[in-house]
Amino acid sequence: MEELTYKSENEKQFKSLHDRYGWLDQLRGFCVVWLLVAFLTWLFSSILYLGYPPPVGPTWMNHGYRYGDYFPAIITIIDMGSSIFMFVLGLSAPIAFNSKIQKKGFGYAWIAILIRFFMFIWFNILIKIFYKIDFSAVGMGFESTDLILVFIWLGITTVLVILHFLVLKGTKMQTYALLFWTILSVALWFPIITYEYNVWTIFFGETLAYLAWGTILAGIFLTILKRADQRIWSAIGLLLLHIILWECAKYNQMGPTRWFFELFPGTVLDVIGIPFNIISMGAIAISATCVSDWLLIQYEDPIQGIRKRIIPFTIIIFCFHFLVDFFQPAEHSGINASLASVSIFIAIYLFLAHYAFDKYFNVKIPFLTPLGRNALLMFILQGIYLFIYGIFWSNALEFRAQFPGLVGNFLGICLFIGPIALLIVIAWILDRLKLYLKF
Amino acid sequence: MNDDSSPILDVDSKPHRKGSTYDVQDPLYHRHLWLDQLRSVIVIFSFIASLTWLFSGNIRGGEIPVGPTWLNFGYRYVDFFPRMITLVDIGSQIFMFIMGLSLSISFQTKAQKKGYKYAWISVFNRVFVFFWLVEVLLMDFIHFYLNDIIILGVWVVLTIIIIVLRNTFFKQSDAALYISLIWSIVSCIIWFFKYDIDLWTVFFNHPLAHFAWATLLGALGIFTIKRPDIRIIIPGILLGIHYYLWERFRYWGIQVFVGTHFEFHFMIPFELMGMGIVGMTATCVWDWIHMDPTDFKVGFKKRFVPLMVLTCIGHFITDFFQTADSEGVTASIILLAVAFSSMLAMTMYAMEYYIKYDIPFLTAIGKNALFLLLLQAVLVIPYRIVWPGGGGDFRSMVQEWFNVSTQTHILVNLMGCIAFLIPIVILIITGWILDKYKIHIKV
Repeated sequence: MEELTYKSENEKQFKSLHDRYGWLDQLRGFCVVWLLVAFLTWLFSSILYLGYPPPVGPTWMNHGYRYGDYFPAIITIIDMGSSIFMFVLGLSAPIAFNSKIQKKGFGYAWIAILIRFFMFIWFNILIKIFYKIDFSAVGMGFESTDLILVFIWLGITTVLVILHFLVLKGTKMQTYALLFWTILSVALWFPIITYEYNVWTIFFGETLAYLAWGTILAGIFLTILKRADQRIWSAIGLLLLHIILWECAKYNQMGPTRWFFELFPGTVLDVIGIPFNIISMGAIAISATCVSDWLLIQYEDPIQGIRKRIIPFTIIIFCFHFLVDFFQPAEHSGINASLASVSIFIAIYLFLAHYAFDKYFNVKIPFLTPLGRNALLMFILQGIYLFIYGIFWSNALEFRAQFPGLVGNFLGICLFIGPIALLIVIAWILDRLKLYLKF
Repeated sequence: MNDDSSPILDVDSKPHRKGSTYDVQDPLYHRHLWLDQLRSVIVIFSFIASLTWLFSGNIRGGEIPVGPTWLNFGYRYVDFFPRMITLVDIGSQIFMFIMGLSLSISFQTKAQKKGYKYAWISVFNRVFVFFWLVEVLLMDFIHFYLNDIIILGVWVVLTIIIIVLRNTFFKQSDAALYISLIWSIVSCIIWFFKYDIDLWTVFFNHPLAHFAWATLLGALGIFTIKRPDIRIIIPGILLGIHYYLWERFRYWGIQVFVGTHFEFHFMIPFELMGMGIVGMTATCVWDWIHMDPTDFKVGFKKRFVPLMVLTCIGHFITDFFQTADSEGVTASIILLAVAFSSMLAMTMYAMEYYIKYDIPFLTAIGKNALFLLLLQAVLVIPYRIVWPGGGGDFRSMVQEWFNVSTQTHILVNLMGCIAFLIPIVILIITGWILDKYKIHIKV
């Protein structure tokens, strides 16, 4: 196969890379809407086996284990949500990575990846802190040392912002400064939550951490293996590694994902486990980079790449899932190989559907593009909705007790549609103002 | 069933496969491979579903099912209210949607070529064959009494006479279809008198009966209201009625023909209504695609995509008030099925005309979709006999065979995998052989 990465040197090719954002934004927007719905259905879940009142929202738009937590788990599209989102991030990775290399060099491209990594981790910490806030307590539940750390952070951030506008703007140092700031933010904010969370949870054990590591792994394999046909073997290798490790760990009484080894008890590095989710997310992200590159096998005719590589890979990955599922049934916790492979299958299907909608049918579903252009911001904003709702209700039982019958149903739909509409409005305004949060 | 000859060819969308049915010169016989591909996807998934259904287990009692849980009905996983909806729960509605698309093609082509009378006879023929198939599938194969043997003997003689007539005197003539109709009606009547099932089951309570009625409703829609923009109102109204009736009369029923052989418990045929709505909607979709005969994409853009988005939103809202349920085919699940079918149909259409890719074996399976759907019912019979208790039964038996410690041992899982793969491979090979010899069983 023709080597594609690092080849887009002429302007025409660059221009075309940007043309593809139409379907990618639509796909991202699609993921954002689904993730928001999933957040809400998760919050309004019910414990059905105890005979509790029905959950609020469609059952299939919630995690399977929130419906009934049995072995093997029932898998819904929501269980694949974060994996699909990883895939979508991975799709744009080679585009961003290669164009950065061309424009500003290899070092710059890697600094951008590291910035994204630390930003994800920092957001992960912020979300945890957000949930820690206690408005009724003195200092909102924070210690004085926490406040000192925040003030230090604010001071350094202010200095860096001033430097950015006065000295660094347009220079190479700007990127280094941003990297410095993200690392510093993680370092300063992390101690605030160490009484409750350890290194394992923050850096390896949450969705945003999986996305961060997936990005890193995609970057590593994009650097090492430039040809997608070779790189895809690393994704398959990771899935096989996952299968072996899962098989070894599955007899642990608490489940494979709770198989921890004690490291430094009493410190933030108290335990480590097998990073199952990260292995899978890496495989998913690498697959996505391959799909993105395959699309350019024959630059003038992307269909060739779809025909020759993407669809055969999709069929193979579905068959892989189907076979593996008999031995290791798909499970959300740990994103085992079965779930990762079916997620890749569904993600490629969605990618093909959106690609065809854009390129062939010339169709754009309203509002998805603005949502997609600020996908990361929208993804983070969803956490705020969940936080606000969480103040009032923690599950469907509380909600239904407060609002029984038809009133509950009606209010339920308003509670779902309201934030979606608000999210769309915010995205639309940001898009109108050409404000895009990228990292 | 498989007669997808379209009255109009997409001028921009040239065929990509040499030697396929595209090569037929008459544009009236243009075959839509994307429909075949789509059909076969459903056939394979429904086959997997019939196996996962069979190998379900009482998960709350600790039994472990065999096969992917998401490829089984939600209520077979665990039966709570509201029910979990999986892809399999909307499988028969998706199949109905595809049938509705084919119906529109075949009905309009036949009407154009040979008149409405001919088109209607073929519709009735299909309807009665579906009813007859219900009787065959649900027949008691073990107990035959003397009168059963006489009845079926009469049917065999009649069938032989009709086959001879069709292939000699009436070959190549329109009368062949009339004879087929007579045969299907007579078969339907004769087989009913084996008394294995009641009228309600044959005519209202089996997926094939739902397909039959939906076909009839779809054809009625095409015949009476030519403009799809107006026709779509009918399924819209029916959806509203379904919603109301499900809300008010879900458990209502009445015993009819009491004291006779025909006695049955009549209920509101919700599934039938649901399937009818899906079928009629699909006929509109087909006409919308042909909105601009020179560029099919216009219809997709102006009608198909809005329908997909609206039904998706409609499902989301309806589900808060009346949850999706595959038993009864509620309004919520109808809307979801239409939205999902539309997305699938658009993707498969793009696969053929834009990406120009045929997934291996799918076309062959799709051309004999109905036959292979019936074959799957036969292939699972041995499984039903050997493992009547489902997944738990299977696992304990295999555990005993291999004398292994757990029911999730790798050997047990391997046998489960093989148990699934064998019939699927048989299905694919059968479809491929039939296609190779150009044997396409149509109803």
